Amino acid sequence: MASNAVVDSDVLVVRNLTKIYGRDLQIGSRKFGRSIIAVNDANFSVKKGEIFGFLGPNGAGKTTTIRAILGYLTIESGTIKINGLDYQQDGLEIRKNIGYIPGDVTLYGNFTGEELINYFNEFRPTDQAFLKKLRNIFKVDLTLKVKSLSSGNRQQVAIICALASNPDLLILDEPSSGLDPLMASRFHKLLLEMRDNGKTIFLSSHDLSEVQSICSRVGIIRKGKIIVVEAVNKLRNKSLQIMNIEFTESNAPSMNEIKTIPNVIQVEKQDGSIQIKVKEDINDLLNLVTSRRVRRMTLEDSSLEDIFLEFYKDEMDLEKEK
Amino acid sequence: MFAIYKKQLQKTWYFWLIPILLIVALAFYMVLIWPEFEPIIQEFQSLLENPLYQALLGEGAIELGITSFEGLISMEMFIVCDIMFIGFILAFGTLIVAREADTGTLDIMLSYPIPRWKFLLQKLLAFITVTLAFPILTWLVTTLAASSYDITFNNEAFLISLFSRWVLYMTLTSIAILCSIIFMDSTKTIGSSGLILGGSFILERIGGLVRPASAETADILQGISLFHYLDGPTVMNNIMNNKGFPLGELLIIILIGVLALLISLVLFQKREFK
Repeated sequence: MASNAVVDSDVLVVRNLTKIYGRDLQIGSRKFGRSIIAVNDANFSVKKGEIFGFLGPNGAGKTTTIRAILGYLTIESGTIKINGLDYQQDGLEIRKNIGYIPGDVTLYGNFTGEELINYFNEFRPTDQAFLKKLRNIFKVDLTLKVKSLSSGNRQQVAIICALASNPDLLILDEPSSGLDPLMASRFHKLLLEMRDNGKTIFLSSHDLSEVQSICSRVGIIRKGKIIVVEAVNKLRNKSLQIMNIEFTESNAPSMNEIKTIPNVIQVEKQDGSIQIKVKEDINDLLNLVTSRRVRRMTLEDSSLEDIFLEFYKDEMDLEKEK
Repeated sequence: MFAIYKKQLQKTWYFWLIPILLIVALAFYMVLIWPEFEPIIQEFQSLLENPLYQALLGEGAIELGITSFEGLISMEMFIVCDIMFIGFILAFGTLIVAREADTGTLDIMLSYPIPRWKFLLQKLLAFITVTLAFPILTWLVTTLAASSYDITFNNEAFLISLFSRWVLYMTLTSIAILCSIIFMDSTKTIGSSGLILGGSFILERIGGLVRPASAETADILQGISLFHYLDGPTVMNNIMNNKGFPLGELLIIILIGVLALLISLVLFQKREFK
């Protein structure tokens, strides 16, 4: 879990954030309303110059958290601070330096890209040098009306508009959805460059490979609760490792023998080899392996996807039971 | 500083101006037909004895009668204006906030450092600016056309009646905006503001229908209808017959409009966007 201590370098600090939608309303034995806890006592912080990935399936509370950070929602309890400023009292000041791309981008259809950039420039001045760079990266025709663009090109216009002022904090909700792989890769490269220049990026995404490749830390939210906030590397180290071993036929240990080794989670036979999933300490397993003759062995970290699925294992099991 | 106002004007002026030009065209048409109509107009006066006409046109128009140019133009034009502006206001009330919330453009707009009240007020100001064309252009075109056809009419009373009705329309716009902000949903906004505006319009007509049977019931029904106040033909009739301008009505209507707008601004500033 994330530490509750606020560090100077923390740009975004969310403490004990709780958001409840609706109200319980009961008259006699009849219920007329039901409250839903969308975010429950969430705690996390995002440091200056990092890309923080925010993961969770649909309905987990990602968008609610983002909307609370942007000051669109009133929260039941907790605090949200951006650069030490309170999200509600100092909303205007905070928004001077935030770039936001919503999950489902809709822009004014009767504007051209250029007109949109000029329009938003009135509220948050454009960094002309950075805009020039954005124009080079994204090849969308900004002279066309937004309504005539494809969804991918509209997404590019939204990215250019959000980033044009070169803000210090970016809040991105599924920013690369709709982008083709080439554009997505260019966009990721740009985010990494921005990070290197001290910009802070809060990235909510379904694309686990995207998060794995560009985020330094991730927060995983499940049913409104933040269940883990950890560096991606640490998370992968702590998580399952997958060992594929091909023993020489004569001295292969039995499946039961392997299962009794501490930290071994799962053992499966696969085309002549054995796949073993082991968590954290792998030394006991290595001792067994080295005592036998091995033809071939590979050891790989689990991907962020495996880790993510591990956190959601209970839910998936429940769904299967249904 | 006025980016939203400018954008709103640039991108929507034609949308709002087209119906206003239709009203102006109607006024011009009235001028065109008046020279031919004037000699035979007396024959149509009996039409106004029909209770349905009386209810539809209102007391002010009936009192003015059809035999004068002022009577004809106010009788024909204000009823069309009322119906047109109901649609106009419903559309604007929905577009100002609810539709932006529906489509998601509000999400992006509010992520910029703009006070919400400023966003709302600038959009409303743009609408006010364009709709000002209604009294100004209608008066100007009617006056110029009438003078070129040698029609004399009380253009001062006409101007005041046009502006009075415009003030009522702006108050109705504030109410539609309030509905938009309360519901933040296009369908609900159209439904609720349509109920208030349409209901008010119908109440005024029902009041006119029941008046011959019960003046008391008619007074109650029309008293709660916003369309009863600052009625164009009535204002024109009052000024032409030296009965004075209904200042009390103007103050009530402005008060309701300002109140609705203030509540809208406060609500919009404080409400959440789910």
